[in-house]
Amino acid sequence: MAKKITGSIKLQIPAGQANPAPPVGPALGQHGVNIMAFCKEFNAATKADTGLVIPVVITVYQDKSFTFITKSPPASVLLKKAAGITSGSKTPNKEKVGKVTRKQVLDIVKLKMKDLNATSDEAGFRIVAGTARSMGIDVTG
Amino acid sequence: MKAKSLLQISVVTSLEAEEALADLLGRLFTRSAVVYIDEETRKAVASVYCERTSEWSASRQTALRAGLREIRASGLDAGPATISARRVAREDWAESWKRHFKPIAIGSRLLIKPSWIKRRPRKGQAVVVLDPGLSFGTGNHPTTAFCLRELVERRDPGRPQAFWDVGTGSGILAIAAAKLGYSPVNAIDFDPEAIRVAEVNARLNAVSKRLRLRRQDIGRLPERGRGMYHIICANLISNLLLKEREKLVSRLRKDGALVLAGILKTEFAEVRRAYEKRGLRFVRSQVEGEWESGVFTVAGSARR
Repeated sequence: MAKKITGSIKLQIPAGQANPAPPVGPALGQHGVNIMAFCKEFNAATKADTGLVIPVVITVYQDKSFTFITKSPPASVLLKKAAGITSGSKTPNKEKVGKVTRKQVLDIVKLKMKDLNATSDEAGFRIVAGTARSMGIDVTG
Repeated sequence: MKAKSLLQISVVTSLEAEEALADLLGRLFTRSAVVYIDEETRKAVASVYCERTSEWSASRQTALRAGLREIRASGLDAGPATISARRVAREDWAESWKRHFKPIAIGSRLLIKPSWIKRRPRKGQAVVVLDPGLSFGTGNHPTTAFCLRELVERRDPGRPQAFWDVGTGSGILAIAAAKLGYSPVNAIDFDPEAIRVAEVNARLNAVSKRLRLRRQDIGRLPERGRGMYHIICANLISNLLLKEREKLVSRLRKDGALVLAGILKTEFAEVRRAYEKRGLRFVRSQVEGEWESGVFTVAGSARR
């Protein structure tokens, strides 16, 4: 049966530690998703990745059933790693906290392409480079 | 002591900027942000949940607006970037999602209900207990509800009736058929997860021994079957119903009924033509939302 999707919920949860507290509870509860079923399935699926924060996308259907997939780490995490910094700038237009090369951005695009809202490498580059600049990370080279 | 409500700070944005915005909120509030993408509008709403209203301080509001300007300046389309703050009642979220689900009565003979609802069935009403969860529905979907109504209406307690459920999912139709007295009841699904869930649900309803669940891709079944089923429900998708029509029709008894569902109303006429061409008679259909489901019998049979 082809089921109608009403929306998708994207969040980041420590592997194996999903529970009904915020943000999982209110984010899923208002869409009628069986929270305990999600937590159980997510924790089982990520138990091997303890210590990592896992981005997850939950697809919610018209009849309130759901599916979910886990994703590659967020662009911001990969950018911080590539730039060798622990946090982004609070005033990214004034204070630059690091730099990454075009090649590093393209490597991130390659890793995240399937998860980006982009249909080409160029569009993917634009998104990741934009995310870098919004964090106070310069893209050079 | 925790406040009675949370404060949800949200920003409506574009798909292009949702990740940058979630990161911005995450940095400002030092917690993970949530993004909800509405399938129909394709708008994204990024939110964080604050324990205290004081967290929505003037300095954070200024920083959020500045961050939005940064996102725009960095070349991303930030969309409408509407900022809102609303109170969300603190609930027992492990339980409160359940209010979205109510029992479904199919005529006077069948009741579908989640396990936590204590409603008693009427005399003679069969009960199917099914909890909502991963992947598979619970009878709320209009196509499933149509199949359930046909199962109830076509059950003749005076004679044995064989039932075949093609694309069983949660097993809801097969379990309902077993409870209504259909026998034998066979069900297939190509997805092993569906069969696993259906087996759990069959056990929950104490009908494991009265139905046969099998992982089977209809595409791999022999083209011709022995016409043995009184009722066949195929709640699939139009393409599959068109491609596999011979397999469905050849397994239907001459006095049987074929229930087809999972069809978009824009595609129903094509499905109807194909099955009529194969020798079936169109009995009736029902439109609900964007779906149209239909019933067919063998041409020349007296059954409707």
